Amino acid sequence: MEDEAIIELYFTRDERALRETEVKYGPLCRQVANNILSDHQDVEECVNDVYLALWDAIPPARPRSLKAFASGITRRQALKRLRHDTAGKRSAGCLVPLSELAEVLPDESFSPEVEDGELARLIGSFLKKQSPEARCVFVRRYWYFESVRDIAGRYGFSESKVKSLLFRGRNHLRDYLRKEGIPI
Amino acid sequence: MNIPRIADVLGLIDEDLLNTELPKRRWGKTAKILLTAACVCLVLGTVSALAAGAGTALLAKLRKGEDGFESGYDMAAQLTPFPEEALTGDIREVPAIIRRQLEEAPIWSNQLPNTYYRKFDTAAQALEYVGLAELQPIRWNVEETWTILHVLGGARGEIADVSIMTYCQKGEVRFQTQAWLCTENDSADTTFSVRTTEDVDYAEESFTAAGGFICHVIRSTALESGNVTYDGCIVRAGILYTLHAAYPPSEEAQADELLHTWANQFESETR
Repeated sequence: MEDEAIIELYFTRDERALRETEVKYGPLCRQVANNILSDHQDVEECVNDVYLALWDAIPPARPRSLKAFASGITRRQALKRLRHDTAGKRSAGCLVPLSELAEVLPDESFSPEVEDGELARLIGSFLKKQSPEARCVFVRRYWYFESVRDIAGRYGFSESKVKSLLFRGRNHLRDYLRKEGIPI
Repeated sequence: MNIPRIADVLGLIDEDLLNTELPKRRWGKTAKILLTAACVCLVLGTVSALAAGAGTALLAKLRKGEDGFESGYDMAAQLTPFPEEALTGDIREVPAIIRRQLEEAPIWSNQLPNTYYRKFDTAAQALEYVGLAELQPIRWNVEETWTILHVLGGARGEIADVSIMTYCQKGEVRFQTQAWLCTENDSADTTFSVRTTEDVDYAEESFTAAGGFICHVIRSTALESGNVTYDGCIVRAGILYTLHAAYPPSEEAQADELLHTWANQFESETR
């Protein structure tokens, strides 16, 4: 079913909207949650929370892309759950990619005035200037938290190519933010 | 920036970026061969060292401003993964340490949870800690300042990469030696990059050392400090060894003597 039709089901409060979302985007949501949460039960609970959140959000929201909207909600729900997780259930799936980025983004103690929204706008602007390869690899690693191996498999790249694209992408991002006046 | 905030910031990026995708590709055998042939043509001018058995190849040189950023170069190295069990020294304690870090490190900490650092007084102590027979000790008459062992772990604490870097000085020549190995838990084809914020150019050369190994050398033009640098690279028994030196041009003879002394240490393959 097309996204527009599924969204219309949400707008008419038809519960088939949830079933169609599960059919079309359930695997994606499960994958996003699984990259962040290691526990199978947590993943399932998280995905159920996503459907509930979608039901609550649409309407009034009318997403341009249901895929991006559902992915975003899944990511937020999974990270929220991760922050309240017990240490034993914690996954390194997202800690490692985020740690990679920590060194090229501004430190709060040096630049407390930089707002999250402004930083996100600059990162988005930076990514749009990158090659499709560099952009997709960056988003897969730092937004979806996919492993280097999975990204390599997805795009038919060698793992070293993925590492190299990520390494250069981080360095270019740091330099771009500096040029935009963000102290790092 | 702390990890939760990074996650929040990235969550705010334009969702159009999430919808851009590359086509999934699975190369067939023919395509792989063609691709390899194409790559060989593209970089033929710079991979002669690899073709001759150096184990490293210069992929790209960047001048400051060319790419909008720093000067530097990218180098590929063909390592041979070791079974994790081949590391028989006290390094075997590291997977448990990394697992504990992954479980216990505060999520808001900037410390990388999958890395382990340890400082040693000498390179010999670090080699003993790793306990890999194939690691080549460097014996020469220079003053070692300290040695840093760095272990990169995977998501389950498994050892993926190990590097041992020793800082030394002889007269006005400052240099670092590094041994870099990977295990079965990481990819063998490794790319590493060298960058400087200054505008320098790089030149490539190679020579055959006493043990028969090709030493691949990348030299830089002078930095703002007036110092020039070189990086010597040798791959022996699947391990990458590098020697980085920075020195005033007047010390070139001594720096080159050090390079050859270092390169001549490597014994014939045992693996």
